[in-house]
Amino acid sequence: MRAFFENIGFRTAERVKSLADFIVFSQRALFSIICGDFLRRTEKEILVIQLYFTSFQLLFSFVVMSLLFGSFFIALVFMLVKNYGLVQYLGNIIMGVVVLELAPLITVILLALRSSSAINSEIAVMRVNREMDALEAFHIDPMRYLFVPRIVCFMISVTILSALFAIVVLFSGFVICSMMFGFSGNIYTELLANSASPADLVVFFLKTTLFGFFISVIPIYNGWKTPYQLTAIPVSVLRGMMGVFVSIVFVEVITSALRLLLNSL
Amino acid sequence: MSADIPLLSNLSIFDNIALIHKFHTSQPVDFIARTIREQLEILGIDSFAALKPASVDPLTVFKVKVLRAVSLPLSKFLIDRPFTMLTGIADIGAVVKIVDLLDKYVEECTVFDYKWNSSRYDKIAPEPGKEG
Repeated sequence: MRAFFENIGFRTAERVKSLADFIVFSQRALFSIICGDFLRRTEKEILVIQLYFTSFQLLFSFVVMSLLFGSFFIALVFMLVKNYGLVQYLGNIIMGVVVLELAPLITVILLALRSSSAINSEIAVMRVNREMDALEAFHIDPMRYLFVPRIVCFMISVTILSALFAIVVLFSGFVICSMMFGFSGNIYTELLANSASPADLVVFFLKTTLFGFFISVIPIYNGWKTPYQLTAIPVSVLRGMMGVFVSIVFVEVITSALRLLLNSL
Repeated sequence: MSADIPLLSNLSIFDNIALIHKFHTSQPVDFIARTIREQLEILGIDSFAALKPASVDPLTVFKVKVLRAVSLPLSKFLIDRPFTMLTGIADIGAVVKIVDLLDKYVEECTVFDYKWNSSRYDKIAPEPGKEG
């Protein structure tokens, strides 16, 4: 019985220590971002390269996916709304569901699957190969040189790609609606404009920035904490991706609560 | 420089050296590129500049490590156990040749090694009664 409780205590202490380490790591990253460390020469180069890999390489397939999704989703929503006689709420439904919920969520899931796993394994491999030690030996702070440009890249990428997703979905949805149901462009624009509020935009940017921060800082932290063993790399990626999933749910809940709060004011 | 401090695998040979210059100095990129090209030419590895460390032989990796190490404004240049990095060479001659070629960039060079490797240093051992 005593061993059982000792085990629980040990595991809890480990978890708390790990969480405290992560918070300190995140604070350092955030401080470095605020100080604008990513704007220096070498860091800016890394940022541009990372933006190319994370956003630009993905652009074509992302736009095609958004077009397909937008066309059918908005047409479906419009049909349902029309059947229930709720056409006057179409703008609120589209803004609330597509722009504020689906666009950031689909973008973040795509980036987490594609790029978070990649940076987790990249950092873990660098750690195992002692390349981090090499950087430190030459007085190059891995936080400044490796981590911060990647985190900033994710924050920019999630925001831009989410906005792009929303724009493409809204546009393709309009095209399909006007073709299938003869929906007028003026009414569509008016419905959307009336349903958009500055608070929603603030929540959108907060949400995408938080998503970008967490889906990069968690895999980076897990990669950085990888022990010097090749067999530890898959474990590190596994932990990192679980952390990313939890953080997506966490940010989603927090921002939804914030939206509720702002709308009730 | 040491076997425990590897080159960065995701950077080319050129970028591995350039990183130190770019990070620690405010020299223009063109000047840095010219200096590195010159150094690579001296060591005869300029044709490998665009390759990644994994695609070149251990001697080239060693030369790049030397160039990376001399990129920092050092007063002393220390090689830690060179034969752990250059398993294929019989004696220290090849290392001395590399350091001699970089005379312009290396002020002083010290080598640390195990005692049982002393015979591999015979060629450069000081004559009795003289300091090395």
